[in-house]
Amino acid sequence: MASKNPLSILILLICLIPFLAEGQSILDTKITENFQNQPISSILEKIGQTNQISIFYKASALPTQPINIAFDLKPLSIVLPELLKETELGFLAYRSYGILILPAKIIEEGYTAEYYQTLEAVSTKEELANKNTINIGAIDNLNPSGKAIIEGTVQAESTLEAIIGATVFITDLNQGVSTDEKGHFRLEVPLGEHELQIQYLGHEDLNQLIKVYNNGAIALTLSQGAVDLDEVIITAKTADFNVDNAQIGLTNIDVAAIKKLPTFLGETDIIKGLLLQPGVSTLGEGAIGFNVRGGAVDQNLVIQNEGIIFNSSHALGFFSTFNADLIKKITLYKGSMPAQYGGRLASVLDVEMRDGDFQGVKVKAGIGPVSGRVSLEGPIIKGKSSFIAGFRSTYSDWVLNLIKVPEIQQSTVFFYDANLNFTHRFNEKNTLIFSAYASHDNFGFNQDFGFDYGTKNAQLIYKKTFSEKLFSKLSVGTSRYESTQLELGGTNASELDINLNYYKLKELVTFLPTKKLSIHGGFSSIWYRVEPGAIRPRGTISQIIPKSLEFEQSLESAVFANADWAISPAWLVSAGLRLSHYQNIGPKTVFQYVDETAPTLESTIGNQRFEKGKSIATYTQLEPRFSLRYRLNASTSIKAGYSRTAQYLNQIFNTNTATPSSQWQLSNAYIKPLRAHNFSIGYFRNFDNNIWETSMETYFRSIDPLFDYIDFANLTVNEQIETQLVSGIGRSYGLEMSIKKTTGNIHGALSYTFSRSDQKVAGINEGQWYLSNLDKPHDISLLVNLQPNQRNTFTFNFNYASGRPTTVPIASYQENNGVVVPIYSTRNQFRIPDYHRLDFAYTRGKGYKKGKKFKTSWTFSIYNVYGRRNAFSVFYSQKPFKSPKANRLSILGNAFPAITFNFESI
Amino acid sequence: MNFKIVYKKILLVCILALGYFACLDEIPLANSENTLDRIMIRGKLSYGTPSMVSLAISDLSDFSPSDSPVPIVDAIVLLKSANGEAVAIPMTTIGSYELAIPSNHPTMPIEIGQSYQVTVQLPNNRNYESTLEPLIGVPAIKAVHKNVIERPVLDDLENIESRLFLEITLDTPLELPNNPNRSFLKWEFEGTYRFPESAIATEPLKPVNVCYNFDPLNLDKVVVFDGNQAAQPILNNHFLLEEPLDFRFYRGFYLKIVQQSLSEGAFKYWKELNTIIDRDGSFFETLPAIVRGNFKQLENPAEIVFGYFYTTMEDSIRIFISQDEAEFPTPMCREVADRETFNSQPNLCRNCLLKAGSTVNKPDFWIN
Repeated sequence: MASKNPLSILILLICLIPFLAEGQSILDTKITENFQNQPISSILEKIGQTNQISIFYKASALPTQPINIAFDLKPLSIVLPELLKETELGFLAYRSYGILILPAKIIEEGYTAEYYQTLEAVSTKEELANKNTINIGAIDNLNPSGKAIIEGTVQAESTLEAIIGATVFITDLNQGVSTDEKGHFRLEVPLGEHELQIQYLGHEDLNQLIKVYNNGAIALTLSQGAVDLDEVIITAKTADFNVDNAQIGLTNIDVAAIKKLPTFLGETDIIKGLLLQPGVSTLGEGAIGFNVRGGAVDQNLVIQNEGIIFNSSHALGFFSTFNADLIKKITLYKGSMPAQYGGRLASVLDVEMRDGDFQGVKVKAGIGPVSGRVSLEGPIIKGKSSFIAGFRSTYSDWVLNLIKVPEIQQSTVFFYDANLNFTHRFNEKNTLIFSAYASHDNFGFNQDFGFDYGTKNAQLIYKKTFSEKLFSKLSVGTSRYESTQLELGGTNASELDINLNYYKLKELVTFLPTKKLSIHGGFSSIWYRVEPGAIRPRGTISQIIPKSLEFEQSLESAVFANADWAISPAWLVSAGLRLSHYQNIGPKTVFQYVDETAPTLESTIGNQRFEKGKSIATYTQLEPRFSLRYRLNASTSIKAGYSRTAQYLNQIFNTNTATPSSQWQLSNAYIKPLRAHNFSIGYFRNFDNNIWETSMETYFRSIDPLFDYIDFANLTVNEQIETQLVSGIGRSYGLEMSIKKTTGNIHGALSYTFSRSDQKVAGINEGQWYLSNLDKPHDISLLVNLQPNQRNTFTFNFNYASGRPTTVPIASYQENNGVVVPIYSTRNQFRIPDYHRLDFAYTRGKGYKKGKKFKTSWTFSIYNVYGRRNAFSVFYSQKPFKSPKANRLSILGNAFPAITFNFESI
Repeated sequence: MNFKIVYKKILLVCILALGYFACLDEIPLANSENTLDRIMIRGKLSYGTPSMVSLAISDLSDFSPSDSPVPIVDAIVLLKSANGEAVAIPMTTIGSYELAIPSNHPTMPIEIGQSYQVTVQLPNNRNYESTLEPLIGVPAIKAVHKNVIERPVLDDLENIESRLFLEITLDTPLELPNNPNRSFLKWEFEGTYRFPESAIATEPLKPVNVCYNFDPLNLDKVVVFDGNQAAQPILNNHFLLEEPLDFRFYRGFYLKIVQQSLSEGAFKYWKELNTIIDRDGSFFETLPAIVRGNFKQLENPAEIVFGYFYTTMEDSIRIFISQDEAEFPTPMCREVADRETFNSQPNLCRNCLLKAGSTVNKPDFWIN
């Protein structure tokens, strides 16, 4: 029995092995033959047939030219060397069954006892020929040490995306590891047969037999499991990630957990999920965006598939723009961020969309009281190209009609957003992703005023794997954020347009020279074009004079490098450097002032024209980033971090919160870039095999400069906007503590944040420190999930926060026409009442059953269970001959129940 | 579990709960005691025949129900022109200083185009001075339009009902004849209505008064306009005022609209004042701040002095809104009632003079 097919040699070898077990004496077999003009392969075949000896060889390794040779009762031990003398092959006999023809070099090196033990072991298994068994290395290339290193990847069968945090366990050795952020794992095992067990939430367990002969790689795929697919999507971390990673202030947000949170009117909200994290807060319900560690909304860099999102809220601030059904991973960096990120002071929220299914078409949909959503995904070329598209929209006007406020009944709220992700894998090393996003909002209040705004962006991302150690991610993108503020009636009827465009190029190279060192480097460049304001009349009686400010443009570029170095098992360092360079570029007319450090309308002395392409202002900033982890033991670590951040694009608003039409302002000759030092240090400890995670972080941020506004600043279509701003310094500091139970029928998190934020600006509060709008000393959030079984989940969420600072009247006088004029305190001297709220949700999901094509679930939630009238603001009024009043405006002053139906095809 | 039934029930609960949505209520005032040792000086020079100058000086009252400002008496108040002319303004009532200046005043001619200021010396020898305010002519009102509109409002029981409102709009030039400069304008409003007491049907001999009430209107807003922000030199259909068509319109209503000219500084003051008076706590509201006037203390220029002295010329127009124009509103008091009804009505219905600003003297302008 012999084979000439080199591809099947290993299978044949496996078949042979049982025969190898028996005999040393096979080489004593006497051969008497006369071979004329025959190739060696024929001669070996003939010898095997005549003497019932199995001789295995790779035909390709044998010379093909015919030879003449004769043997007369010569033993095989003499015949074979003669036959093979012109080749580099040797032979090896095993037991009485057969002979292996192998490279002589291998045979000369000799085999260890383990080799033979291995050979013995594998030979005794009946299922050796099982085609599901994966061989690693080749039997003709056994590792002499008796051990081998297996490197592998685990990916999802449907999306071909790497699975992070999958458990790879060798059952017979009781040894296991977790896959890293690229889905990689590495194991050192004895040669021989082992059973791998791979597990990951939401996927079927995979039990895989392997036969290990030498070092090698293995690619494993997991198929979707019998539990809620949502849970599969995001748990993007290893079990001890919080203790192990070096980046302080880093939080991976669990999208599956967010989907279980009680919702406002049934709409899953990523931003509201963020607010459960320590250090993340909001000015109030309905306020746009979120605040991190006392930073303003515009100090957060919000990225979705490399595209920058400038307004992360729908319906003013009641819903977020992210469609949770399409999200793969959410990462929040608070203060301390790797060098590849920049352009904002306070935080980075990096949202990564998932790829569509590469194997089959899937539909997901949901419908709630005010909005509906649907997503579709599937292959374009099976296994190579896929798409995923999602759409959400609202039909909320019927809710407004239920509210007993006439002005609200006559209001309208509408939004939609749409996402498209197209992924094409040319091969294992080259992937192209096209990602697009569009959103639109229309808000009208009582036929008085309104906002019309939206985002459109598109990105092209090219990922290339040069080798196992070198990766590249190149992205190009463009975006346009448009907003129109509408005054709807009378002689002031107008439309105010404010727009922002950018073009972005970014290259990120990852180099893994050793297992202990990873280096990220690259560059980025963003070309901003801001249309800061154009107002035009609306209607026939409007008296508004059309006015349009000149557009502004800037180029923000950076080169960066960041290294993560595991110095020892205990020490892990992440250090980086970002060099950012910013240019504000003409054409632009720039006003000149007597004192250019403090421009005022009164001190205007003229203007200067900068032609197209001419530099108006240039700023360069070196931004070191550093984060350190010291692991005290397997479950405990201490981390520290520092980052220098700079921000060249700011949002201008003198209202309680930013509005959709708040102007984006580029740094220029007068408006300097904001810069911050961020320090943080933390203690992290897990208990009970990472089931319990605890952390305590303290931070300090100083900002120099920052901007505030002169009293009654005029920020609308103002060509001398710099005269309305005053610069100063700011600081924020705090302590964040959290305890989290990650698994079990009852799990959840409790977090407490102590934070302060104040600032000092010339001309405000007599130049003394005063509280910023974001100073909320105490913030507590408690999240409890009760999951008695797969189908039923109960979620409770409680929040408490100190009231934010506000300015109140402390005196009054009466004007000669009877108007009572309040006199306000120094800025932010008082606080609005404290905030607290309890939410509840119950999710009933129908479990997945084999053979079913879809699954459904219901979510019932109550937002603000006990109907607390939390104050968004407190304002004061006094009329002649009447007592002054303090009025509390509660945006959501009642309990809001909602029910949502979810559908998902398998 | 039948989820269709449960869903319907939950949806019903949801709708009912949302129906009770309410977002604005009154809360206790913060502990906001006035710690300011500051004064308020406000004044106005109104061009006319005669011109009137008035000034009020007081301290500030706390922002609380129980406090009221203390007038400052015996101050020495002077009106000065940019040319150096001056005239003393005597105190006429406690804390109030007024003077009528005829057009032929020998030492203080009041002229359009001239600038004026006031100086104040307090009994404690602190001296205050306003900026010079130019006296600017006012364009004449061209037309006033009255429209009755209907829109939903919340009643006292927080139910939505439809109500009628009087909407006033105005046409006015924004420039003076032969003067290309645009005007800064401010409007004030006064309403006068007739308010008859109830008669008792069975007691016809009881004398019944008919009162006339004068009410300043729109006191929670300041209505101003910058003529430089208008595309055309004339303002057409510019919204001024909206008043509910209530009992005040039952027996006719006179609305007086006063159009005042302002300097740019005064316009800025009144505009900022409106920002802090007309508040609703919404997302879009400009943050409140101290409105600075145009007085300074000469010994301590850093002291914040509240109030403003401004000069103005006024043009006014008075329009009548008849009962039928107001679509026959419901009266507060029945003109003729039986004894039981008479007694159950508010005291005002038995004695209309109890209402502040009431008089039984028929105003000259009331023509029927």
